[in-house]
Amino acid sequence: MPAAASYPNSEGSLGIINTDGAMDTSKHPFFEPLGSNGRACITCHQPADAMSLSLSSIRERWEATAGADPLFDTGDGANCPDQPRGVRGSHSLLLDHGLIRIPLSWPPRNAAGEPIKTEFTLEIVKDPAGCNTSPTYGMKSATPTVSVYRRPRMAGNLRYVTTSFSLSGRFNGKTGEPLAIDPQTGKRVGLPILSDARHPTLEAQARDAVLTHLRGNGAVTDEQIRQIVDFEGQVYVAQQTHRVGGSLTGLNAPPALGPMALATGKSILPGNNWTTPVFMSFDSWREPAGETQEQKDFRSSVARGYDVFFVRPMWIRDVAWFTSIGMGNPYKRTCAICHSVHLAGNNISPGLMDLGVNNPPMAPLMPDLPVFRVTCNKDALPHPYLGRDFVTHDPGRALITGKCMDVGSLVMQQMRGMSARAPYFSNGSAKTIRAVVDYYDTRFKMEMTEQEKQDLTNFMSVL
Amino acid sequence: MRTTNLIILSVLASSTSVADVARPATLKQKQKNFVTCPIVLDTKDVPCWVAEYEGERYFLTVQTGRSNDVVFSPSLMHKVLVEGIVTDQPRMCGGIVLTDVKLSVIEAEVSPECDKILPGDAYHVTGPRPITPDGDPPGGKSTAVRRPINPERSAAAIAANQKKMAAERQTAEFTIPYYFDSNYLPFPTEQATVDRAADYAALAQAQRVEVVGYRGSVVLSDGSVITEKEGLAERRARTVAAILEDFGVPKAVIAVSWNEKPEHSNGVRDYEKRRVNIAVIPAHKD
Repeated sequence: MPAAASYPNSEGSLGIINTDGAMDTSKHPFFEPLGSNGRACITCHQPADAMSLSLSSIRERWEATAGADPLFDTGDGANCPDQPRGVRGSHSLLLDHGLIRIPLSWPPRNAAGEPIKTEFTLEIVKDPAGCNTSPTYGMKSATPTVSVYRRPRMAGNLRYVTTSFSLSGRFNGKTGEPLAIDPQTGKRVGLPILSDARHPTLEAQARDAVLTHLRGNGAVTDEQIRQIVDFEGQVYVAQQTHRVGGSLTGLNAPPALGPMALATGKSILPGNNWTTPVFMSFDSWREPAGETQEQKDFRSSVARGYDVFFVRPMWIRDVAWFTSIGMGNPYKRTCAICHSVHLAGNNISPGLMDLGVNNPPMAPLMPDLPVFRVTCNKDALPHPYLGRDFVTHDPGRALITGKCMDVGSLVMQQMRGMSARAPYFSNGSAKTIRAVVDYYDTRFKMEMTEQEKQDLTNFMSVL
Repeated sequence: MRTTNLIILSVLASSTSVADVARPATLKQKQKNFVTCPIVLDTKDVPCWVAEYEGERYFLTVQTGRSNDVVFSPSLMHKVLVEGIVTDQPRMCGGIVLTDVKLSVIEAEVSPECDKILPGDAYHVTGPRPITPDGDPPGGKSTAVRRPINPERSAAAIAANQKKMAAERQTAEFTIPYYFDSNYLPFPTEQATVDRAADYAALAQAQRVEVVGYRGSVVLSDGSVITEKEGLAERRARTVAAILEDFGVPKAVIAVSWNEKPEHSNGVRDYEKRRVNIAVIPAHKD
């Protein structure tokens, strides 16, 4: 693997930098199978896909291998392990939405493996994928399991993701509970990893991923885990060129663009301010130079899109663990209040919150996904906006904590490399960047003009 | 005999003195306690929260962050318990200004009928909008001001005071206030109070840390009384004790107790009854 590389995508090209320089990937545990199904970490964390996995790549592999690629292992690359491999319908959630099956114990278990008394019951309303009602793998099987379906997350730019933000150093500022402790270092850590933050560190995540996604046999060594985590910490990805906008780096380019900005930038700077703005400045593109008028127009549009992101207020409302923690609901601010980490646009305060992509009425139900009815106990605090009786595709963090108010909460993702890794949101419901923009416009009644929507789309496409 | 030095770092210990607002004889008349749907006004610069009670509008707060402000803002989709003292200050957002105001979001149930966003009309909120620890947030810059830091409440001053108290083997007492019917410890102040108690327990090598939980009731302005749910005093005490233990206070020195019976309320500053008290008692000198 070279120290720097470029991969084409529909909007231009993605740049990737390995700050440790060129490396031999043979025998490296990120790139080599560590279990019995032939998968490696790189199976779902592709450099060309911004260290995630795009739907187009999934389909290409399906076509090229007729489903023989290790990605389509039925353990989690099929709708359910009891469905026949290589039959398209068995892999429909992966092939149609880019979703990997995440099986989680029901009820949840604590670190000691003991079952947690949950504050809510789960009832299966619909199970089009068939796994939650499976006699072998479902909620009433010998090992009761809830299957939810989520997109692989980025394994790059992780320096910006893995450090928690806690003024006290001990409290989770949102929940008022103590932060978890990394058993290796003894230090407090936030909850930035995985959609449901079920593991506190990259080390723990890697061990679990080897065991589950790779069907490891438990033989992964500490040294292999270290190499995986080290690699994840030295890889930076971002869009590098745009088919209309041209080069996104170099003289007069906005300083936050391109992977080098991330490789050399300071992490953990909060960016919801004028001192260290999330994506710095796009002023050089307000009246930009360009080879063509089309290129100039695009660059101007990107600069306006950054303004929509950074300074255009909207009523943010009914977002559990954001508008429910004392700032007020609704809360009139900009995109940057949540997407606040400098250069990455994620949230580390910690970043768990329920935007609503899995729950009506905040989002329409998807016909292919399971639907669960959540009924919260009377003596528990309800979900702050959905109450005690509602449906969801994915209970999210509540599948780990057992708390009703956590239903639907998921860890916010970073905003880099978006053009390389469609579809978006944890359930893959937004197939394009424009669909993401449209979701927010509807969700928060932003009433953006068509020009604003296009500007914001263009802005996000160059990150 | 041990010396007691009271440290109160709390939201409810407002810097506004009750005596500044009204004399005790009239305080009960000026205190307004009611439960209602909050209303938000889309005012220029920063939204404005109000509530209506018995045909009158009351100003509650402007939109805040939690980072540098002491008001827990209301929430649409929930009713709010308003506890505040009427002032004769100029109206804000058309409402009578309450001071020493405590706003408790009624979290136990969702109230979809509480969903009113009104136009800002001609109201222009000129009050301060706090600048958070991450800086001056974008949007509505014209009213952004950095609030002065009370030097006596700075981290350095508190640390120095704790060091002095520990050297003198003084007991430190901490009070954690709560919102009605809530066991939530919000950022920043309530969490900071627990932090400081844990810090002092370590610094003073505490031989005993007493954690006592209470629940309360509120006499509303219509004469009715609402009482916090049963068992909340215990849950509050146990939660704080568990956090202290997680923060390194030895379990063996923590004594947890609670007073299940709601303390007497009379409609004036009833919020003071909803609390956990922590007493950190240092080890004796050799």
